[in-house]
Amino acid sequence: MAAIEETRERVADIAGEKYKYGFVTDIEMDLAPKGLSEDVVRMISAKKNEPAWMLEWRLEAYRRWVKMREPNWARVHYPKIDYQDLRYYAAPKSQGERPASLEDVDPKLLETYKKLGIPLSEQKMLAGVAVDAVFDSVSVATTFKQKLTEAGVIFCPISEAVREHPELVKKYLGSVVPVTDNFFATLNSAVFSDGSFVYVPKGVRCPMELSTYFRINASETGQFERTLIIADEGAYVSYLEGCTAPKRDVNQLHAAVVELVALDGAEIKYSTVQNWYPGDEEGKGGIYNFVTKRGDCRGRGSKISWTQVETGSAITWKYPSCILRGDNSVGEFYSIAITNNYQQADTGTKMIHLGKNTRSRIISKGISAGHAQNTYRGLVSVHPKALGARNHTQCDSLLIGGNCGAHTVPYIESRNPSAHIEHEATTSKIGDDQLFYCLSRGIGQEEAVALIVNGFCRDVLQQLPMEFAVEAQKLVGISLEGSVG
Amino acid sequence: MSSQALRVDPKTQLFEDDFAANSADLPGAGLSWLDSRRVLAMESFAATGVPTRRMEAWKYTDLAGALDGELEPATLFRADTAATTTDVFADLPGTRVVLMNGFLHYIGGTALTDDIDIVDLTQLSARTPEWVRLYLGTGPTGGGPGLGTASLALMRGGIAVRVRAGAQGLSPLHLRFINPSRSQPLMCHSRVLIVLEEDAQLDLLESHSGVTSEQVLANLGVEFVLKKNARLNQIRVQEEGTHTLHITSLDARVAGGAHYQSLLVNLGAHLSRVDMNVRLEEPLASVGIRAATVLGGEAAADVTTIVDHAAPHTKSRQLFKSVVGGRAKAVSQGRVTVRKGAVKSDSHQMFKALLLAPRAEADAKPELEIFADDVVCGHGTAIGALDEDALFYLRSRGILAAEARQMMVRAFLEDAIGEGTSEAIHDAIWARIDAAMTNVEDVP
Repeated sequence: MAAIEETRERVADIAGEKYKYGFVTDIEMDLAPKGLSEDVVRMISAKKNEPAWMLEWRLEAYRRWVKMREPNWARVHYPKIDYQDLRYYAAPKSQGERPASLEDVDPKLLETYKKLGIPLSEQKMLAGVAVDAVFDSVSVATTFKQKLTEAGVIFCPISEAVREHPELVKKYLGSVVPVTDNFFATLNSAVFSDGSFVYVPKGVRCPMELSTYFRINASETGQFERTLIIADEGAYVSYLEGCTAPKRDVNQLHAAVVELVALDGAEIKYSTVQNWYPGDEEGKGGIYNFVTKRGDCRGRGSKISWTQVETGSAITWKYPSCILRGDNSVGEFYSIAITNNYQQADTGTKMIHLGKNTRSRIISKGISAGHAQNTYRGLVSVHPKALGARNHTQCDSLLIGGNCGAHTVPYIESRNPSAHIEHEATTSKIGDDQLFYCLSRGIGQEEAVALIVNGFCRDVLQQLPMEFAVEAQKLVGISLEGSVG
Repeated sequence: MSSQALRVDPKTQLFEDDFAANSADLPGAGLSWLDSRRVLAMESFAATGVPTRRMEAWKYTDLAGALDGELEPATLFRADTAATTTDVFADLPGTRVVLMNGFLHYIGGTALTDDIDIVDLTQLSARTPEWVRLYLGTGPTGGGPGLGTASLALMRGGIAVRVRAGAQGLSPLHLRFINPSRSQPLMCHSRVLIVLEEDAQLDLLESHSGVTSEQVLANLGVEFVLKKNARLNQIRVQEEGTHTLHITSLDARVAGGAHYQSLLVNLGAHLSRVDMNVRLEEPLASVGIRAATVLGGEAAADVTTIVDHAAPHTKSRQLFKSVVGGRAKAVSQGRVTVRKGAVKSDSHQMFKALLLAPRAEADAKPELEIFADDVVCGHGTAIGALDEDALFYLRSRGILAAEARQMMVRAFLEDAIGEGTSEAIHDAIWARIDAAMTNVEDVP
């Protein structure tokens, strides 16, 4: 009896573990009416107390967006999104006035973040990570402000930056991802409600990891956050991003824009663990994740490094890119994309080599299980002036089960003879001999798969900051649960 | 899409007008099987039109931009073949079939045996053999948008060949396509159908050439049908005139145990594109495609392949090598699809390009589309210049810079050309490549 009981508990545990972030926080919300119009854009801007120039910027984006068509080139299939059936703003009511300190934050919100394992309370922090927490459309708390201010680092919600640091926002917002860039970025430009703003001044090495935690809670609400990170000359910053959402049967839209600017000798390291709700085993529900992320290595010798672990979302459409404009600049992209059940991911990167001696490195690991479709789509483009440019790309796909798909669509364009470009890709399944070896050592099937997949992903996991790496490794195992046997 | 359908661009209109005005006079008009295939092909062509760079499959090759708006359909025309350049395979034995602007001109060389049937596609009638009716225009012609459908709808000439079951050791079949220009810009739509019955084997030598002073659109649609255990070894040298737009849409169906081997050598034309669609239909079917492209001036060459692993235990190998100088552009695109259930598929693609001039360009898009888990698929791409260290090594051994570069370029291309070609063919191809290399500005 005891054994049966134990098994039952264990099964319950695993079931709970599958998507443990799927709870809903019951909190009073301030919601915008459904639909998108100029009035809604004005309302969002007014809620944020934005200056006139910001409203004008949004309206311009909105007017462009109305004329744009949703792109359909990616290998993802989903029913048509009715953009008039969504809410474009949702905020916890208690956030009407942004709390001055953590004590003023609604305890329900703090509870939510505690459940998610995000330490907002500074005293309890283990690692020195400054966190900006975004709940639906607004930023609810930013930690370690004091310490950052001492170093001269600005880390605040973007809505605050618009008011407090308009000169920086005006100069850099939309300079990497222009308002008209693409359908989703333009939509974001019109309705973005919050996100993080980081400015690291000249020569400053940001004293701690910065982190934003995104949470979608409200239903039928789109989340549109905007992140802008500027590393001035010789500065360094490492930024982490995490995301979760409750389990809901209806799909939810997430369309974010992230812009990075690295000036001379600056370095930005941007890590994402994306764990939006992926939908259930039948493919019901889940987040539609349409994200535009781009970094501009504007200065000489600058470096931007993207690391992403994509395990969530029903649909992922995301291509973190680097524009290597400054001479000797470096772009890196490390990615793990795991799709299970009915998830679809079309993700990759673009490395645009414009400056001399620019270097880029791409390592992409795609894992597909269940009925999922996983596509790597990447561009390496070397312009005529990019003398001595160098790229190495490696993209490997792993298939688990006979019903999934793994696809690779690289574009390689060279217009400079001194450039060296290498690309290699492989697709295979988990080796029977590897699996057999693990099983013969008494390791269970699922655990063995997680072990092998972790080994397959090692090159990328190594790039993550330590706290994230541990979480990501666990996530790899959980995401693939139920994919074998 | 609807607005596109309403406004037909003038270049697509050219093809549609030709069809509207001349469809009743095209070869085989009135044969219901052919008429219906032509109408379907024309509809399918009109739906996408002349490819533009806005189409994903034509992203790197601007056919619509290069196409003259005033092309006249080619007509049967007797010219002196000696007026054109000598043929790359002129000294090799074999049955020689010459097509002038797509029309069968003459058949010579080694006499045909009973094992091989040739049908002139201008002479289609109710007495046309059954196998032509069965296969002509039934393949998907190219795969995706292109001019393959137009080559069927507007077909003026071409040939169909059948090799009987079990026929082996035949003398090579040499198809020589000559596309000279005349006083006005021309478009030539022609077709080739080759059917290899079970266990048949054929060596196919194909050359494409022509001196041009006006634009010629050489639009060729090719269908290969390989039945069980058949083997086709195709060696194709394209050295079209400097005003030629050469488009080949090739569809190959490969049955169980059959092997299709192809070597594409691209040396000429203003713009060339080979659109290859190979379907490995049954277990143990295999294909090997190699391409060697040498370009200079402002030429553009595009090799685009789709290899469809539709059955388990199928194998494909692709190796494309390009040497690009001047302001030329070499494009290599390849998609390998492994269908659901096509387990133990084994596929590899390798695209390499050497850029020899500051304005040269190479674009590659090796694509994998995989719906089965137990497969081994991979691809690789490398684009760069000649290795300075290797050059230095050769020069330190007393070899002149120009010679050292030539040695390295030869070594680079050799693994695409060397394998599986007889010595005579190998030497004949190299003679042409060496000549083409002199046009490739080698500015370090």
